[in-house]
Amino acid sequence: MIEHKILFTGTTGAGKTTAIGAVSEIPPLSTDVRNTDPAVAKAMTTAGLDFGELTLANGEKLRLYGTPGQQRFEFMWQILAKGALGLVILADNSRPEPLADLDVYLAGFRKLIAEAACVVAVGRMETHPQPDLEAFAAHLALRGVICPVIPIDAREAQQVTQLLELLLIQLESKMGSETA
Amino acid sequence: MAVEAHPHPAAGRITLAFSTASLAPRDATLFKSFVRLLDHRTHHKWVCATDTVDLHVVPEGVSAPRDAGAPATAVLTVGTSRRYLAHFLTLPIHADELETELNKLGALIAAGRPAPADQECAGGFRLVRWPPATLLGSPARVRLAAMMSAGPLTLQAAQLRAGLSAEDCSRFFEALGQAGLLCEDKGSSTYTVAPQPRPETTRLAQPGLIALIRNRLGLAGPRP
Repeated sequence: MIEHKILFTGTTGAGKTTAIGAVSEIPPLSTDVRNTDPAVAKAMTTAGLDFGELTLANGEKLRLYGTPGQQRFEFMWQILAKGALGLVILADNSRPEPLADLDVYLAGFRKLIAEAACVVAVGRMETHPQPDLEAFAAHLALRGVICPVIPIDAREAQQVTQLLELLLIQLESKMGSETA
Repeated sequence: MAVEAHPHPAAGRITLAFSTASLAPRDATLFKSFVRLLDHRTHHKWVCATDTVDLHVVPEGVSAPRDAGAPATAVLTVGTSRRYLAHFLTLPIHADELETELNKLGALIAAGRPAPADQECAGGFRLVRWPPATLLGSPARVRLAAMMSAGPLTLQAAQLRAGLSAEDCSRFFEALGQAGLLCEDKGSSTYTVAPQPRPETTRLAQPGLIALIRNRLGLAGPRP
């Protein structure tokens, strides 16, 4: 069976599992363990990875993989990135330094970002409006990345679908350019 | 206007004729004055004519006159907003910009390849960074910006693929340009991200994969 994949990454608690669950046709399968990090207000956290899936009309699967957020799992990021169609970076604006957090994933997924599609989705902006989307866009440009930057509530299926559409639009544009 | 000392080109300069019949009288007078002042710097000798001309100078939004069956004549559009045409002169006229355009057009005409009217910049335009929400304003603009984030896009391609009118696309490009978020791609094949296709990219070439994903997500397809 042919599978395709899109990755969701971001810090612990950014909403990766939630976003996948919002659109997946199966409940996200998670490799969760009890969270022992007192800095993170979650009972459980993803230690391996989790995924959801969508079945396409021809029977092929689109897998939505949530990468573990902690940087110590960076080795897994490279494995997961191979062959991925695109990357969603979920930023948690309630954290002390969201732009510094973003840098971790820009560096960790540099090759995938350069070769495929990427969207940065910023969560919790309604309670933590700074840094704003302009700051994120400017920061990305300084890092040589031009990609959509949008606010997100990871619980909302429509918003997660919009994220995925923005990935698809980028892929379509690249396909159109490569075959022109 | 700074006038630099410049050796007058040899007497063998080709003479080319231009018409300003479509311009407002004031703009026509200014244009002709600038051309005369630049005569010592242009590579060709430009003279104003009314009958057979090599170049039509027209205001934006106006098409150049064309005789049926006659080959297309070069067109230089003068205006304030349509900056995304290949041969466009922004008002107020700047001597350097006019000199550049006259030399480019003169070279094309002399080589027997007049630039057709409304020809776009070949390489298209690309984003310098993701635009602010105040410029995006609509789902269509967000989608168009997403296309442009993937690589350079011409105005024509943007109109075709985004499903927006030429006017809407042009307004968006103009707004991006005025905000300093747009730069012209010089026709290279580079994207804003690395251009090298990777082996896995061949999966994208599978006919209809993106369409299948769109369909599964309940998203409308893009215009072809």
